Amino acid sequence: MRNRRALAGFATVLALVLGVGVLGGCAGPEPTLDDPLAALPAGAVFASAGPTAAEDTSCDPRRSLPAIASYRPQSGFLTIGVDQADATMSHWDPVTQTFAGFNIDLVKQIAQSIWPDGHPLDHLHFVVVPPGAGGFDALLRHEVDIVATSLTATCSRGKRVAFSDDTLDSGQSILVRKDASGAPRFDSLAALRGQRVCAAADTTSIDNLFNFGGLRVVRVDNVIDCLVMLEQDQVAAVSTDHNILLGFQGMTDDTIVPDTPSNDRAACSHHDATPCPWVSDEPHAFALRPDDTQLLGFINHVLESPAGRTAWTASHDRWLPEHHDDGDPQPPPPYQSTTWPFP
Amino acid sequence: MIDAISMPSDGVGHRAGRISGRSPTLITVFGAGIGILAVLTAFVAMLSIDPSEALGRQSAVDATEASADARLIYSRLADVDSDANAMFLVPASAPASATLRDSYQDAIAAVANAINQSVRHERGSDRIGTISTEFQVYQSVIAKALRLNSDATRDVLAAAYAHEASDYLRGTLLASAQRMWQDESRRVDQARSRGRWWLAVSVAMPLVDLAALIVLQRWLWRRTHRRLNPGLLAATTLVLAVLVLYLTVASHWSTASGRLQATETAVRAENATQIQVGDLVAARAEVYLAMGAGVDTTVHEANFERYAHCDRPSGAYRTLCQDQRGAWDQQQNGNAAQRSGAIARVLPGGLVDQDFTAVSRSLQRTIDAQDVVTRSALSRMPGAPPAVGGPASLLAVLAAAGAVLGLWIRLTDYR
Repeated sequence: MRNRRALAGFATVLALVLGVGVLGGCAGPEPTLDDPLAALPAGAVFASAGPTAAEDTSCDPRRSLPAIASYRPQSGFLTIGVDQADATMSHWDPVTQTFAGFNIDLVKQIAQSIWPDGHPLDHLHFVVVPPGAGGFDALLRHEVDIVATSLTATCSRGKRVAFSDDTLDSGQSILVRKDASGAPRFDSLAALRGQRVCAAADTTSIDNLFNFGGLRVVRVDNVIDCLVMLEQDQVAAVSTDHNILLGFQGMTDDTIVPDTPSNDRAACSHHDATPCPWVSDEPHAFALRPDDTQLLGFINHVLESPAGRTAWTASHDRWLPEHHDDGDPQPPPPYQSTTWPFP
Repeated sequence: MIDAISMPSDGVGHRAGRISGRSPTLITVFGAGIGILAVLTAFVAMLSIDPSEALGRQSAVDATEASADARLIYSRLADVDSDANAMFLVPASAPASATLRDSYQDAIAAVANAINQSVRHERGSDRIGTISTEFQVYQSVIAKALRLNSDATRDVLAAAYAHEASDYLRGTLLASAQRMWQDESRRVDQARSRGRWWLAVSVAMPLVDLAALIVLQRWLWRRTHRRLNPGLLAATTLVLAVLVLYLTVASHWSTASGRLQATETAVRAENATQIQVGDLVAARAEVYLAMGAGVDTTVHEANFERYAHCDRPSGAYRTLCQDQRGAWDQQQNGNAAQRSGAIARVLPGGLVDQDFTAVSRSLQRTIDAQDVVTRSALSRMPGAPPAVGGPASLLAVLAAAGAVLGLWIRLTDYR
């Protein structure tokens, strides 16, 4: 009798296990974006899962190493990792056949400070790297010296690379299409629940979208592909740093960054006015190899210097006039510097 | 007529009576069986007509032409991809821009011509319709990219559209064109296997008929004072005639099948070289994307290396890989003049362009040589075999009638 009960119990468990397995196997496939009669950017996919853990706040990502007033270069040039499609920060200008943008102006200032004679571009080599943390591999393989994409400094990223002083305070926002009256089709991220929202792989933006919840997140390799998909009505919104979205907005006639307040006080702590549409705090910085402390210190020196500040202001006025940060990020006092959790 | 085995006698007579009582039933069953077998033989003979004709020269010619059409579309589409990406190498205001746009328009027209040429062959019309529609999608994306490219502030977005179009062309359109010639290869393979199967069945059926007729004749012969049944004899002769008919054309089937295979092998070799040509054009497009419209130079460089077989370069490929690497180095690490020089190297007439042309010519020579082999194989293909299905079917029906008549007469004798 006991054996029979044990057998029945075993059979029940086995049936449940098999049943769960079968049900799991029968779960519908993730809807694809494939439509043979519609072009789609390469690599665009529904991202069905993502990190839900809260961002590591064990450090202050705006801090860096103390400034170092001199730097002896190892060679006659610096190799800069850039994002060719970032209109405001580091895009390729086919007319001048060179890179241009806010970050490019800053690295030109750095090159000018290292090599005062000659044109700074003669001392800069540019290599296109993937957006976000995607550029770190090139950095750690010594293919680039500085990653100068639109890059958010975070504590978790600081375990792999070292960040310069904060170069730009920004926040994540959305870009949507306008309706017939010129108003945004969706006025906030909350209004986009259930809709397709596009972001680039390996970015804090896509992590934030997953953590926000309720969105059908579409992942692409390059965030410019999100704009193509928005124009082709394949997604309802693009979500990334506000500085990038401003560049996108300038390229299209029928898109807009809604200014509906996000009610996120932490995200808006470096926004200069209300309403603040930012849903996350995105301190931007250059990324360097953790052992490249001399160059990192010198970059911080340049950013703090009067010439660096002048260059910052001129570049901000040129490339980011509508970006409502609260100005040139103040360098931290020396006693607060360098708490990066270097490996 | 008195059947010897039906004569009554003591003992033996009882057994004979049982046999005599059973024989009419057996004759009826045998008659029905033989009739059905012969009718089946006739049916098989009719059905074997199409598979037989499919092994003829015209069939091979059709398949070869359809494959050639598909390869032409593939090649022209690859050219469009290359020409389209070249347009984004220089600003819309640059003097070279107009020439590059003209080349793109010529390439578009060439695709349209290739599609029209293919439409003339009825096979694969569904696929051609699909390609035609997909090509319109591609053109609309390129048109959007070109509109944006005329405004320098939107160049980045133009590049993204161009990149999307290139990916669509390679992932969707070229794949559709490739499926066209794969369909033809599959069709020829099926024709060969169907031909072999029908030949086997066509020969096997008369053999089965023959065996059944001989067994039946022998059975009756032992029970009718060793007399042959004339109906079964006639049926046997007719089935033998069917068999002879098939044996006369069997050699054709065998030859046709073998030569069709040779033709198919030659066409496959041409297709494989055409893929190499497509890869070469894709390598050129990757160069243009890396230096112009692309958003991820590293990926395009890696793709170029893969398409141009730069890991194991041989012949003209070696020079191409070296010169292109030089152009990249010049563009990425040089000053403004060197960067312009790098673009000039890859534009039509430049050093890298000449390398591409050299590799392309080498591949074209290979295709030409393979084409000679294909035509030679085609010329050795036998024509359509003599149509034996109809006569064989008629003979088989007559054989069925003869057998049934002979057995019916024997049955009448019993009664």
